[in-house]
Amino acid sequence: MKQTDLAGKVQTVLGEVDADSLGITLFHEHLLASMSAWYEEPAEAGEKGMARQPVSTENLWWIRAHRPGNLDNCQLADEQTAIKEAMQFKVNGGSTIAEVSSIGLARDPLGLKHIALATGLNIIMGSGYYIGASHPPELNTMTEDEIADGIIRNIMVGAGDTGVKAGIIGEIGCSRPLQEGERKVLRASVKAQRQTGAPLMIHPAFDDNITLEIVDILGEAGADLGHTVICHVNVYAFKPETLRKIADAGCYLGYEGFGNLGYPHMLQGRLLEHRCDLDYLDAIAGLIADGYLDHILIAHDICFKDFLTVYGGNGYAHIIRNVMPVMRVREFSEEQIQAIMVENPKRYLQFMRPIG
Amino acid sequence: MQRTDLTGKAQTVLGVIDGECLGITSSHEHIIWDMSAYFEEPESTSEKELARQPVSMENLHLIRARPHINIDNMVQTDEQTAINELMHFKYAGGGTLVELSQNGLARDPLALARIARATGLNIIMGSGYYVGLSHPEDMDDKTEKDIADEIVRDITAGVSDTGVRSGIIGEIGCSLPLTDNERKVLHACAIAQRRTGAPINIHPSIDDDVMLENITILKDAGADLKRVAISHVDGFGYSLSTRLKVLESGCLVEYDGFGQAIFHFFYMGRIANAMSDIQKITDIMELIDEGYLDRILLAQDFCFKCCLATYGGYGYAHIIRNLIPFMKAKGMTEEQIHALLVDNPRRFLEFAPAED
Repeated sequence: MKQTDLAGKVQTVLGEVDADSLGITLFHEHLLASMSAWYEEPAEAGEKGMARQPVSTENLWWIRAHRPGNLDNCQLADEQTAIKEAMQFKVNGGSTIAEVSSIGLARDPLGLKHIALATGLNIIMGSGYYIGASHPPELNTMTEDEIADGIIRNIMVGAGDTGVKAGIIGEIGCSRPLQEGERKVLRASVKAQRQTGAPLMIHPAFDDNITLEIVDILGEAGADLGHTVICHVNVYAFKPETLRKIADAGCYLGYEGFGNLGYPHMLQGRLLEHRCDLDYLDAIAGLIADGYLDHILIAHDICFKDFLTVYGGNGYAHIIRNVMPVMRVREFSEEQIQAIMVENPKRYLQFMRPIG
Repeated sequence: MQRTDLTGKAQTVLGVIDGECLGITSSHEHIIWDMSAYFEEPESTSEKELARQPVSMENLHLIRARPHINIDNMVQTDEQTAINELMHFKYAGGGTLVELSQNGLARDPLALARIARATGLNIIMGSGYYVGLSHPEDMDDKTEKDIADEIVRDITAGVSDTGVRSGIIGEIGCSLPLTDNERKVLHACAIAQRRTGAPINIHPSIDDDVMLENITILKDAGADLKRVAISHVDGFGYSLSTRLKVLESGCLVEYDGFGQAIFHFFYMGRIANAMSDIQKITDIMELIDEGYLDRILLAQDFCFKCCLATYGGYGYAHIIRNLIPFMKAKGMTEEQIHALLVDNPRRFLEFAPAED
């Protein structure tokens, strides 16, 4: 494996770019993905029927309270749709999307390359493995080193024989309780981070204590926690003290879910707290007041059809069009907005020197 | 004018019923309405185009961000759509809706009677005047007594020659600042309340102090504040301490924007719909701790097409289907939920003895 020095660069699906060229960046999205790992077959006939309907205006009311209970809704599978949706981000002033569909989310390297070519956006591809429920069977027998080598190859050579290289390790999936396979992937991801200098993205467990344990596992394995983001801190309703512990360990805090129209619903026996954009902004303002501005990353995490504007959702331009004006009303300074939308993702997404 | 004694009864568009028959009640809704009087003509060409499109899955993301910018979004005049929508509420276990599209929102008594027959739901119709912007041209010439007479006639004889009677005074519109005619209407409501024993629902001014003054005006005019509900306490950006002041004055507080935090928009310099459902429930639980369980009403106040299930919204069953499980998950008891959705609206909607 030939190793290029990526330090200070960002690796997109079309090649390396200077970190300064990223502009307004969404650090956590999906353009082509399948979320069917989350699907659970309902028991009742009526619900089974709803689960199999195509997404339409008439069933959004059900879908938004039952995600991921509709199979069609779990599939972001159409390149042309993705291009059209991503263009809304571009024409509103956006430049870069980190597309973190890892293995288990039906990552599509060539599809992402097509979207980058068609839109002119910087698209950064993920690597590694999502939650245990989506792990391929062979992962059971793979060693930590083998998993790490696979990720490193994705970053240095490309995914499979596509030649399309990953620019981020993640999103790495964790469940509640944390599974053995997930622990192994976490440690392998750290190895890959040490050898490549790539940013690391964690989809944490839906539980405060397990998530803090995950941060410990990463730290003990030697991760660069200052180059790691813990996602979903808002929808998983982590306690304020948990957030501060994560940030004090050095990690970024991922606030996704802006513009998410999903209704709070039970997930893994707990209430998934979709709140609203203003709640998130108020929480972020609190963190900024406590000195954590440099730890904040925000995105929509579009991962179901009903997030897309063609299916009645708010789409990839929502933060630029609707959230940034509200940030100004809520008295975020231009410097703070610039930090959240440009500087923090730029710092996070660029490669560091490998630590080996 | 023949006067029936309504004491202890509720008056629906199909006649007088026992309060015990109301069941689960949504205290503030619109079923069939025309709000196009509040359409704001946009300046830019692309927005003018958007303004005249029919609401569709493809433009919902734009319309939700600025619900007053699209004419079709502000008009729901189709009876069959209304019936389909209300059946969601009925199937979910709902019994009664309070329909507050009075003068200024294109109230349609005969349509409401037909919809009540078609659905088997109790529909209680409003009376009086909405905000000044919607007042009729001859409003300056009307005296307090003229307006009070109109309201009393709506309640005792029926609206014009339809024979369909109002069961509540409201929603009475108050702007910021309050106009002279709105003040006159508030006085007239107090008079009509004393003559009929009807409950009053106020759409208050969107400012904490001016709203509290709306209440003082009613009180000074002799209204029974225990029979007055203040709408939009959740959506208009009031502080919790202001809500407590409303309760101390004797009025009920109405959280009527459930399901609406998916769009916040700028309204008279404030961000409307800024509170998520989770925040509302947390807030209500605080008021319950303060001893105000019996003084709280809930509703969804759908007045845009994009709220309806037909057009990608949550629909009228949102509170029952999505919110009740979530209130329980947050620790509310069955008794508390029953008070909010059944007992409180029943007590409020039952007529008190007429005073004069």
